[in-house]
Amino acid sequence: MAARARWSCLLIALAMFAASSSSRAADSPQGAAVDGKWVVCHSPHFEVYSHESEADARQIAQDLELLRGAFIERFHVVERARQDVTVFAFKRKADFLTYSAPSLAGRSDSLQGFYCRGRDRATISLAPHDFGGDTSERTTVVFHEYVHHLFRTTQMESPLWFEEGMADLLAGTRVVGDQMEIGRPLDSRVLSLQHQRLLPLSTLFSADHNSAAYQTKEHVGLFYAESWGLLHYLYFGRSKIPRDGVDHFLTVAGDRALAAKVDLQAATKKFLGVDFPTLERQLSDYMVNGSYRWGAQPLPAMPAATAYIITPVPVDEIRARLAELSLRVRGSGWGKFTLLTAAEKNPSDPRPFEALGAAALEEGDDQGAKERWEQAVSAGSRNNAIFRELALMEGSFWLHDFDYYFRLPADTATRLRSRLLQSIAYEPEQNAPYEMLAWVEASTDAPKIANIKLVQEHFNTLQHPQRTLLALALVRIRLGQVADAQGMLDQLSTFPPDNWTIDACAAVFTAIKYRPENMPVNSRTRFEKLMQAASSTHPLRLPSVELPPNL
Amino acid sequence: MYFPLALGCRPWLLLLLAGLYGASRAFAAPTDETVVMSPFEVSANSVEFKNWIRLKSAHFIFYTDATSKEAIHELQAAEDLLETSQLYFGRVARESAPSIVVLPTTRSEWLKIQSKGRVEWKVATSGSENELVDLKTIQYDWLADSTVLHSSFGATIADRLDLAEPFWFARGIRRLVESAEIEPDHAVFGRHNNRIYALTVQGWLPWDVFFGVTDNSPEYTKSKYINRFEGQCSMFMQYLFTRDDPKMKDRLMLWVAWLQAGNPATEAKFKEVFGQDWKEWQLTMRRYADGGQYRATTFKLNHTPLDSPVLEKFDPPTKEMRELFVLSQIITQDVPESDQALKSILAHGLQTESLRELFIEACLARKEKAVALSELRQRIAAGSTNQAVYSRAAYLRFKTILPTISADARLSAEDATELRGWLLRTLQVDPLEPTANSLLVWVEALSPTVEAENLTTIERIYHTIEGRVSTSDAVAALAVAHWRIGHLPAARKLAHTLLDSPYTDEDGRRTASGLLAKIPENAP
Repeated sequence: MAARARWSCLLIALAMFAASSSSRAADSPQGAAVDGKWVVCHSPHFEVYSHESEADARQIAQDLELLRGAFIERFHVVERARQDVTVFAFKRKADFLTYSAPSLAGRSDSLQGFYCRGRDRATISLAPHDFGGDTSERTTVVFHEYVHHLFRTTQMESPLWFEEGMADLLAGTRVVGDQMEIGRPLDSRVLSLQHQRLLPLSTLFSADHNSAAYQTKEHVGLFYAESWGLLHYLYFGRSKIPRDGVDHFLTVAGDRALAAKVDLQAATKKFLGVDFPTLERQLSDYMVNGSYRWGAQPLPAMPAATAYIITPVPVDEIRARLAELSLRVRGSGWGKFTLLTAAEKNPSDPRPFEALGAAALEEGDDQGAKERWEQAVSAGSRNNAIFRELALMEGSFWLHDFDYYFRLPADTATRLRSRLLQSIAYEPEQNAPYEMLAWVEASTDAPKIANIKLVQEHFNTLQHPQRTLLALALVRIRLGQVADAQGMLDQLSTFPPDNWTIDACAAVFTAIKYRPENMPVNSRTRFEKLMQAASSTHPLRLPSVELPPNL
Repeated sequence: MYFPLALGCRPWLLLLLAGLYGASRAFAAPTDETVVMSPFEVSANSVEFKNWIRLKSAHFIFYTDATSKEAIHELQAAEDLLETSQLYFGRVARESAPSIVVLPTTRSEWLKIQSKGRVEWKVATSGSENELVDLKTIQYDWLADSTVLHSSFGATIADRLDLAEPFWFARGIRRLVESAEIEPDHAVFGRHNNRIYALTVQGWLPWDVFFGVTDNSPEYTKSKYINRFEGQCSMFMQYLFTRDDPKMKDRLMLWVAWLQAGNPATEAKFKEVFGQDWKEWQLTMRRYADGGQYRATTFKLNHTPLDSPVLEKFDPPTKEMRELFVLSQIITQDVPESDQALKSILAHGLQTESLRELFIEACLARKEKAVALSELRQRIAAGSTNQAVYSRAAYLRFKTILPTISADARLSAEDATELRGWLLRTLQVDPLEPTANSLLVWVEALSPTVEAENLTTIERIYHTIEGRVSTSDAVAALAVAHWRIGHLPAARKLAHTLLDSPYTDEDGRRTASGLLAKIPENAP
């Protein structure tokens, strides 16, 4: 299934909304803002095109690098699904709007910037300084969306309130001297909380994207505000709540899986020393009080902004980049035509192919996307996501339905290995390529030991260790080391189960005639559990007379 | 039990068989011996049964005069079908004793005598009622068409998976197994069964008639109707098993449970379960028959060239083959000659000890229950490893002591101890064995004294069988046990549960009504 690009924008009041791809129009900006006045700033993690000035480009890149550094330092995370990020900073309002989505036209007065997510690259577009607000407001807009981007690329799975609250909390980050100030109060949030009755915490904590608290107009603003307000109170408010209690509470409440397993009311009492009603009252008082502190911390260690490389952008290049923006955001015919022309003119430039592939994917044309991205690879792309997505798309096609007996065609295995290793070379901290590499080796008759070692070295960083462990066990079986494989399969019970792995594992057990009667007791129990789970979906179950409860 | 084949008879084969049978009868003139040999024995003694082999795998014993290669191929198919059927039907097979399958080739002496069942059509497979030993004799050219064999395995599988009731359901399960494709490296379930083509020619049975067919119904016993019934079984079951919606199977099992409890197959209930009345359902089936799509399911099989299902192989002596032949005839043919043959064996004594349980099966088939029980006791004393020996002995003994079950019935301490010991011996090996489970709950409830431990045993059995077979017996026994222990509210609650549930069978309702009559209205 093709991945849909996700894009969103923030208004001055930070009301986020997303538009579906169906609302995209193919009208053409016809080359607006294409001139020789653009500069591009390359920082370690960003590519910033500015129509304003070198200083502007450098400042945006530095702000984003600092936010990224602070986020990663705060949460001790790694970007396991990193994507290249391109930022466009416009000088003129009309140009900015020309390259924004048609569905945002009704909000053009307050539109400050927007974020667009593709499978291969994320794009941020910013309005000019003098349009609709000052620099800090524009930064707040971008920071909020970029924090969401980081939640995704670091694969943090948090409850909705935590992610939104944290996005707002970090959106207020500012550099002052040699320090970062985090948690400056957001006026709009404070005002909202001062004039509305708060949502019950139980509602806040349990809300998801389908909840009324998030969906209905009357609640959504309050939901954002209260999420931010609660985090702000816990981090910076004056209270008797112990600091380590807050950390413990947020460790639990900020993790979707953990939060689902515990009674949050009890966790609140245990770690924060108060029950829900008391905490709600304290939060309400905090908002009415009107006195807020915020935090400061040293700047994270990173290359000085002066080390960023800034170069003027040739007209042909900016035309191609703006065409790319136009195609990604608007599905623009002009953008597509311009990129096709650029690709024909300079087939050694991978970027047009990357964007054309992403657009094909957006249109549901998976095959077209693959062909374009193959062209990007041939043209020398160094985008790790292109290599990764190509391998994942092809690997999923072959390996989606587990089949113990299936073997990848030799040329397919070779191609997949090449793509995955290249993606890993460009971005060693990822995890999906290692997982797919394990399955590629598990699906060949002659697994590459070096690749297995590579996967095993990164095993502790993987997102799906149980599936990968199954693949590693299969490799042992392919190599004739069945006893080792059985030992590894026994370890599966130490990981959270998922249905795909359980089904596949049961198939492996059956295939290798891993009979229960020949197993040690622990393995037998595990086997029986797996078989039960595998068959629990559609067993032939005969209804009959049921024992009454409370006999 | 008899098994049809929709392929039609082969005239040349019938002629050949008729000739051979005629010759054997001419040879079987009575002599002046004290015990006259039966026609079956005479037939058996007329041939040497040369070149027969006996192959044993984990779940099957094959007797055949085909080549080892041919037999092993089918033995592997039988094991594969049993294994993959468990995956397809989502049920674990019971640990029954190996099924005996006799596979004569078309040139075989075995085919001198044909089965004479109650049905008009020529049977492809004849077999026992599976009380003690599951015996099947294949009577068509299974080497030319393995469908007949798969059908026979389907009957065994339906029994081992406890999917043998109601009649149309068991036949449908059998048809699904029959149409399974078994290849060296995979098995495919869900393919259409060729029997469905009979529906095009003969039309469909009305659904109320279809669901009421038994093995005595003309729709099954008459040759002109049998193909229609089998085709309809195939179509109905294939449709339900090959839908993407797994709830179809739940609906099927609801319907099965309703009918198993003895309820009538009414249109109203059918509509409640399947959401369509007979007319709408007929339309659904017709559309499906006219080209509806289905989902086949493939299971991979892991065989290497060195794998063999064979655990034992040897050439059975002529004596064993002759006795096997006679016993199989007694078991499968409800004719006076069967009684004569059994009487002869009783007089002469069985010579092949490994066929002793088949001999007991023959006694049971000819209603010689006292002899059967005596033989079973001897097998138990000898430490039989066939768990069914213990449950059959318990069944016969229990029915002798208590022909009907009621709350007032009692077992003596000695009987309860003996029965419990036998039943637990069965359940140690085969915890799902339905006869043993349904007997043990009553042994616990009708013991001289009932204590908490008896209740625990009944509840444990309830949880073991729940979802697999009817729990009506277990709940009824639990109600009686609670009543006997003085837990009157619990007994009353269970009795009402039985009367309120649509899945309670007739015995359960009678027990519940009787029990309620014994519990005073104002009892605490």
